[in-house]
Amino acid sequence: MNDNSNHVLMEVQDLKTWFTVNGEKVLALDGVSFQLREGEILGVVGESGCGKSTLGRTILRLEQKTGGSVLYRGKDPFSLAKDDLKSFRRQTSMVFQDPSSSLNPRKRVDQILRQPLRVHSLGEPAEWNDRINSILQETGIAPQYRNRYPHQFSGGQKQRIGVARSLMLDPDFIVMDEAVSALDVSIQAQILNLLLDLKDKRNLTYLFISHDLGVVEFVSDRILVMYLGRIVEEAPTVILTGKPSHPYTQALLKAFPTTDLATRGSSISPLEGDVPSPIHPPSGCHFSPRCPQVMDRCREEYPPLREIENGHRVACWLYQGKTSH
Amino acid sequence: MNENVLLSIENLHVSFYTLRGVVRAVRGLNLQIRTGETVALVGESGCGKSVSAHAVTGLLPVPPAKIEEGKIFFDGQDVLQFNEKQMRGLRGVRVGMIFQEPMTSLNPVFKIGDQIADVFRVHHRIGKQKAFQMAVDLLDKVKIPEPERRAREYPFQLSGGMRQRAMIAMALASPKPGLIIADEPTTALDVTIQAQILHLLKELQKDIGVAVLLITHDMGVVAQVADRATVMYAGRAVEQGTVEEVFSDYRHPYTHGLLHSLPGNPEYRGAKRLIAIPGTVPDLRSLGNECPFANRCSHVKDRCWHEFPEETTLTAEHRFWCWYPTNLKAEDAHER
Repeated sequence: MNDNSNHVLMEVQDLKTWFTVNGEKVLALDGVSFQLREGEILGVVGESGCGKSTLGRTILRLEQKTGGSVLYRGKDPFSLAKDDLKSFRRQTSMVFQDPSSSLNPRKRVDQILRQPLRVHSLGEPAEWNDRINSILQETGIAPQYRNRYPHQFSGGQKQRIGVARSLMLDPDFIVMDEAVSALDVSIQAQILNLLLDLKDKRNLTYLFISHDLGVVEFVSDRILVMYLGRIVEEAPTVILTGKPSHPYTQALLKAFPTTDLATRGSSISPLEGDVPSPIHPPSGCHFSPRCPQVMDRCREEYPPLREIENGHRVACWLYQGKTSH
Repeated sequence: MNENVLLSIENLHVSFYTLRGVVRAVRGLNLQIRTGETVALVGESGCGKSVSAHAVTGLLPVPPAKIEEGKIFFDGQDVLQFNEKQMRGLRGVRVGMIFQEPMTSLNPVFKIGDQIADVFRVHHRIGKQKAFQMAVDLLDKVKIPEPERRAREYPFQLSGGMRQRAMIAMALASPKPGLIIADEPTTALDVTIQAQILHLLKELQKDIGVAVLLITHDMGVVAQVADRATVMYAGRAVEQGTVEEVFSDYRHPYTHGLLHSLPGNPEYRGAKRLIAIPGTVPDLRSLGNECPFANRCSHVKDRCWHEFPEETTLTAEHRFWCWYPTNLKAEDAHER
């Protein structure tokens, strides 16, 4: 980890994002609190509908929050005036899952990369060409291809262009929302290496959202595990994977199919049931209907996220007796 | 080797004749599946794994597809010589299919139970009610909770995992299923649901002795459930063997690269970067007789650009196609 890993870049408190779908409330994000430290990669893992993407979008103010607070370098992006908001937009960025749908098919690479510079009037227009060339080079695309359209590139190259776009304004913080999930594994490995190189070189901070535990485990310093709109466990990567405490984290780790033949067959001992709908989440702990260790209390009351050792927080009644350090 | 062989694909070549040229999608695939076992065809997009499976069931769009060469024997009969009527006696009867996205394989305007009941009514002379009841029983067998209620629902009312269970039920509705072709059956599912479906397939396999041809890009899934695996790259099989052989004693640089592209590989504990395969898959239209992996391979030498490698056989099951294999056990690799 970095030397400045103790500087808090973002502080999120009880953040809620609710949507209304067909007149019904969807509690996509329902009270999430955590800190993001400068220079770290914070992984967010969970299955569909757990709120991980909504989390990434809300902290960048791409969704309107319903409650709670976000502080980025001490300022609340939701109450920033126009100029300050523009500065927040310059410092933060995002890479999306599907490069085919997140790049405008009617614009050339050059136009796609030029747009953020124009919107933010960053530097002298005369220097923009050089800037586009150098960032393309940095992300592994030969600058002579800048006049091509997105469809003329392969999936991996398109994602490199998506990464290049996210870097145009020299951000400090990037949300990677399933940034490698749509790629074939051999290409995924290339892009993961690229993201790690860029992070080191530019001293970036990432919120790394993925459903793929193997990917999150490899890149992250710390991991948040989400289930149905809430964080159920948070810990440094080594602790989370070595000593998972929440029954859901344990199930998730077990279900993940690894190529380690020593675990052969073990990842198919299943957790029963489906993920419930975030429209009508189960009462008490949302995981209680599927939890192999469920107790009476779990069906009545949602457990608070509580620190069981340094930097390791769990929302589960199994651990409420233990004192925090 | 030949006892109990249920499906045998021999020297299969499939091409697609497109306006932009001939795409040689599968070149010289050999694959055998025995009764009751799980065989994986694994590889990345465009490697030919799905095309090979579709050739078995006669589901290739002809044209543009054309089976150029090869034989496919199911229970000793050459299915490539079948007429459409014979093919219908195979497809959905002896060979069931499950696809990646069950929503697009189920008919959205019919109830789940009716769709499965239809399969029964094709094979048995029974009434609608009896067939529906059999469908409910089958939904119960694939562990759909409240099968009575679910049978009366439409596909959109079921979760992704339940839809995939319904697809499996349909594949089992025939009187004598021998083989299930599962084409990326869990790719669209969450990991805990994937575990459930893989578990279900394994259990059913034990129960009724059906063989499974598993088409997947996920080496983790292969390691967990398959007995044998064939790794494909750009239309060619590059390595084939038992799961132990392919994962622990691999010889082809692509197998090595694929396993090391996975960040979950246990060898990566504490590592800072992945050992990635450089470059991209070649255009299948422009490939000649070279090894298709040559442009990305770290072992490449002159010969690789001119001649596709001969088969090297290591054990009864383990074979690979590479002139300069990676040598986990150096002495074996140099024997040749």
